[in-house]
Amino acid sequence: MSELRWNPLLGEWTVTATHRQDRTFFPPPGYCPLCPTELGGFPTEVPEPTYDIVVFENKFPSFQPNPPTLAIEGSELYPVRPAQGVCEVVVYTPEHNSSLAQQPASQIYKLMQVWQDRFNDLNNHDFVKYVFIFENKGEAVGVTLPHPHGQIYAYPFVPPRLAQKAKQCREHKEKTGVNLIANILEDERKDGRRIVAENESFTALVPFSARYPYELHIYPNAHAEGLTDFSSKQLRDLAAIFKQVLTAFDKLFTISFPYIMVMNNRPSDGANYDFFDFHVEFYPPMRTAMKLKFLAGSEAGAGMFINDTLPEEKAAELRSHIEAVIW
Amino acid sequence: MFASLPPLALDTPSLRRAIKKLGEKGDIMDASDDLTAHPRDLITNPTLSAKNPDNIDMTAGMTFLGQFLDHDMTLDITSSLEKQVDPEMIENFRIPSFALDSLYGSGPKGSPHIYDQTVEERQTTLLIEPNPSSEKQMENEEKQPENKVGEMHKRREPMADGRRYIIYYTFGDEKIESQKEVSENV
Repeated sequence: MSELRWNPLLGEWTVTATHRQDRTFFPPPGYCPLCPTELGGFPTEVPEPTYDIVVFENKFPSFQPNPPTLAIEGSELYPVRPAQGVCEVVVYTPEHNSSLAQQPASQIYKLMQVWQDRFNDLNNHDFVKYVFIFENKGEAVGVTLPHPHGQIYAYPFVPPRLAQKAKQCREHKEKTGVNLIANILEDERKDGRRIVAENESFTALVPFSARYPYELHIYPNAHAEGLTDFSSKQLRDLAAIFKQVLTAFDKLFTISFPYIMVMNNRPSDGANYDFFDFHVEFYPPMRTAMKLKFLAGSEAGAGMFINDTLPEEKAAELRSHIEAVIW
Repeated sequence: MFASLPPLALDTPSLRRAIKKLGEKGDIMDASDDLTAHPRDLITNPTLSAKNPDNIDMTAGMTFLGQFLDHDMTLDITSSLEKQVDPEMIENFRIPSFALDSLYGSGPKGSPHIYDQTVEERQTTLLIEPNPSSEKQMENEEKQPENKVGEMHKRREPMADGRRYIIYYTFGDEKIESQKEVSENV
C-alpha cells in the first residue's frame, strides 16, 4: 500500500508505504543486493559481473510511476492522493566495503555526471514537481544496506522544506535585489570563520545557524538553479570539494563518518526560480566521537533545533582536515 | 586491536642490538639527510632531504618518532581516579602497552579508510600512497591515465521483474552505444 495522506494541522503530505517494512535489512555477507552478480552466484539487483555506476528503480518505493489503488477514501478534511513519483537507487561503486569518501575524485566526478543526468531525465516527467537527490550514510542514520549508494525521490509536489527555502529566497530577492545565497556567500567570505573549503566554483562552510554540530553546506560561487546548469569544469570542482569535505569528515574521529546528504535543486514545477541557488547540505548526526545528536523533544516536537556547539569552532576543526585533492 | 597479542620476542641483549641497528646511520631508517646542516635548514630546505621526497618539510623521523613514542608507547590517559576500572572492559580505553595503533589505527573495521579497499575486501593491507605534495606523487599521477574520466554512456534495460528499469553508466573508451532515454517510459 502506498498513498499520500494530507496532514491538515501542518498542511503537509505524508506518504504511507507499508511494503517498505519488508525491505532488505543488513543482508549476510555475499547476499548484498547492490553488489554485482557473480557468475553462478546469488542474483543481486544488478545482473552484471561488474559495473561503474548503476541506477535502478527502488524495489521498495515510496513513490511509483503507476501507483497502486488508494487503500482508503479521502475526505474534505483528509485528502488522499496516489503516491505517483519515482524512487531510484544510485549505486556509487561495485565495491561493497567502501564509501563515497573513499572513492577517488574521478569516481565522484562520474557520479556528478550521473546525478546531473538523472535530474535532467526525472525533471522532464509531467507528474514530477521536485527531484530530490540524497544519501543516507551509516547505521546511525538508519541505513540498512552498507554498500555505498544514494537515492533519488521524484516527488509529485514541492516538499515543505524546499517550499520554505524557495519562499525565503524569493522574498529576499524581492527585498534586496540580490539572491539570498549570493548574499550569504558574500558575508561568509568577509567573515571567513565558517568557511571550510573553497575552489573556483564552490564554497563549503558550516552555516551561521547550523542545526547540527558538523552541519556543512556547499554553495556555488556563481548563480545556478540546479545541477543541469553546471559545466563539466563546475561538476569537476563540485566533485573535488565533495572529496575534500567527505575526507575531512572521516578524519574528524577516524571513523567512516555517518551523515545525511541532500541536494537542493530548483523545483521541477515549471515556475521561475531565478531567485533560488543550488546547494548541498550535509547533516551528520555525530556531536562528538562517541555521542550522537538525537532529534528529541524540542527538535521533533517544536521544530526548534538546539546546537550544543559553536559553528565557528566546528568549521575550524573541519578546516584542519582539508587536504588537496588528488585526481 | 592487539591488546591480547603476546610479544613477538622477549627482551634480550641480541634483540636490543638488532633494534638499535635499525636506527644506525646508513641502515634502513636512515634517509641520508645532510646532518652537518643546521636542524632548521633540514626542515626548511628540501634539497637537504633529497631522499625523503614524501616529507620534504621535515627531516626523516623527526616528528614520526616523537609521535610514535608519545602516542603509542608511553601515553597513558588512565587517571588514578579510574584505576579500579579494568581497562580491558572499556571500549577505547588506553593502556600503557604497545598497541600498534599508530600503524594499524583501530583496525580494518574501526579505521577502514587506511586499508586498501582493492585487496581482500580491505581486511589485510594498508593503503599506502605518497604524500600529495611530493614529487613522487606528481610522478604517479602522471602515470595514472585511468583517472581521466571519459565521455559518459548509458544503457537502459528492463529488470528481471519486468516492471522496473536499470541504467548502466559507463565512462571512457568502453564501446557501449549511448541510448537516449525516452522519459515517458519511466
